[in-house]
Amino acid sequence: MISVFVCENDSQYLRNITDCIEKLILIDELEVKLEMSVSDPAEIIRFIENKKVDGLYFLDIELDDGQSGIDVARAIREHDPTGTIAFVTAHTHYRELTFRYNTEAVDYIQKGNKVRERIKACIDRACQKYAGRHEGSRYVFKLPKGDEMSCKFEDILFFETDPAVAHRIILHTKRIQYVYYHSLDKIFKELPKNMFFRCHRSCIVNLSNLTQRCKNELMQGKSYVTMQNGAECKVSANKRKALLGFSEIIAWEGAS
Amino acid sequence: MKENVSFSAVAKNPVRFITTVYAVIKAVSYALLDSPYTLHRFGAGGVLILAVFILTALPKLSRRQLAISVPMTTVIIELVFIALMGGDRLAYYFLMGVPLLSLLYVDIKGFFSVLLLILAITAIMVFGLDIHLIRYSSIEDELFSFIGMGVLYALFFLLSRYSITTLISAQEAAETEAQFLADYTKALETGYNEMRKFRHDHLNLLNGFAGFIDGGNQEGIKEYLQKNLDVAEKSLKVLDKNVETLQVINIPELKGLLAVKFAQAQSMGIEVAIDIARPVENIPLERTDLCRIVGIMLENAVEEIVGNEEHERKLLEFGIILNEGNIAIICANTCKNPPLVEEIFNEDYSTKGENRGLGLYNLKQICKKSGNAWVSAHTEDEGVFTLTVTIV
Repeated sequence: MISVFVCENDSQYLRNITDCIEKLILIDELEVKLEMSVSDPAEIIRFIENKKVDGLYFLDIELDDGQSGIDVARAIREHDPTGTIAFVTAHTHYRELTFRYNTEAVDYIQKGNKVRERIKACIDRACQKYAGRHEGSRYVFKLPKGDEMSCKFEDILFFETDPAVAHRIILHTKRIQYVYYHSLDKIFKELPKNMFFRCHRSCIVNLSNLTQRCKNELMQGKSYVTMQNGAECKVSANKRKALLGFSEIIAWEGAS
Repeated sequence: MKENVSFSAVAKNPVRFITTVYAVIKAVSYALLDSPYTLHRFGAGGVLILAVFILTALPKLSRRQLAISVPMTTVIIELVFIALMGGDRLAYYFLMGVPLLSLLYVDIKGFFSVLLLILAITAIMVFGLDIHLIRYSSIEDELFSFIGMGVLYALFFLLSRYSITTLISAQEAAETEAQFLADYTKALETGYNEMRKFRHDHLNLLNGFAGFIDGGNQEGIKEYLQKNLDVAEKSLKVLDKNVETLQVINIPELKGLLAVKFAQAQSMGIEVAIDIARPVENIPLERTDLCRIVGIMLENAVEEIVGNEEHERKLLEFGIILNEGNIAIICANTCKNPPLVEEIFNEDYSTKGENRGLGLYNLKQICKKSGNAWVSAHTEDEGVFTLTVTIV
């Protein structure tokens, strides 16, 4: 169950957002509960200090008495590190690119413009993240300074370690790359076994994203395969045959 | 970059200048050799100078190719002349020549180049031994000079290669900066002109009003006002929006570059959408690298949009997304025929005809060299091509 918190100093706007969220929960029958709708952020902090929640927070960036929503977000992260945060602001323009790429740890909602749509998207995203954490349908990881990100397993192309820096992992997804610190062995344990393959000492590849081109490269005996984002995933000589076998099965499945 | 063909340009171009000086010194050192063969002493130097002049005058040769090809020519000429002196020992010369030639191609760093260096030194020593066997008949008293000669030779080759490539990168950086400055000045000028035009329009507008007021035509005033307000609003909005968005960037070089590129794109009729929400204070990259990366991304996008006239929508989207510990620079453009993503980072790939494919290849090289940036590409079915650089 996800708990939603709203903090906004304009009482009229607070009511608007609250209404909107309540309606969305009702219509879509979501596993979401509107926990708190306040104008003072301290109340939220007090609440999550005492109770562990899976939170979704809508915070006004421009709060009263010099407080910024970003400070509040930092305080929230201390108590609820996996919570999802969305900033409500009058200033930001419509953030189409970030929105499409689903790539930022926090979300932005612009007052007045497509608010309902964006709130729904935020709730959906929080639900997905929540489900991913609990059912393992998404890969969840932490960026270097603690922001939690997640992505669908099928969007992952491959993982590789940076040879220059120990434990630095580069996660290549279809749309974007992430860099964080972890160990490849531990990552492999978190992944579904039938989908991922350790094709090199420093690479784990997603078998379902191998293309015909990868197969050709393997047949030519190359020491890498070129993935859909233009990056090269290394393949060790003794794993090439096994990988080729997998890619053939996949190609066959794709054809049928 | 367009290369100048004339010989007098040699002095103006540092790389050409250095390679020419190099050839002359080499030729002099040949002449001073105590070789018994006149052909070796003067012929080698002459051919070398001639070869360098021909090479530097070739318009299609890039600087990097030039830097590699001049020392390579030296080696080849040397091999040929030495082979002429003692033709039956050709095998040895090949033994020496192959690692020496490959030495010119590899980077100075790395395990294999060390291996090659050792190979080259050994080969040169064998070859030196050979020469001395021709000239003197005893080895023992000359052994140290053989070793010394081998080491010196190898060092000379490495050093000449290293200094030339360093010089080139320094010059390239200076050129980028100069280009950037030129662009920036141009943008300032455009801004100034726009302002002047606006002031002029403004005056005209007021004069127009005066005309209507004199005639007492109220309907006319209304219509006139409506028409002109729309125009003024439209032209001002575009400028304002960009300026406002770029306020959050606190890296002056980047801010300047973006202002320039966006203004250029807009003047070509491209719709620009910028997505930068949080203040950009510090991006952990060399400023020149950062500007080159962003410059290449935007140039590529603009070229793609402009180069293809059939676009229904000309849209350029640019975003900097700051997560805690990961920075993503995203640049998306509409494109009619999405390219093959797997190919685009190759040296010779381009959708825009020959000799144009270096942009994205360079982008990847800059990222690789920096050690903390990674580039990837993505195409969407609706005809959007996206480049993403992740920086940690």
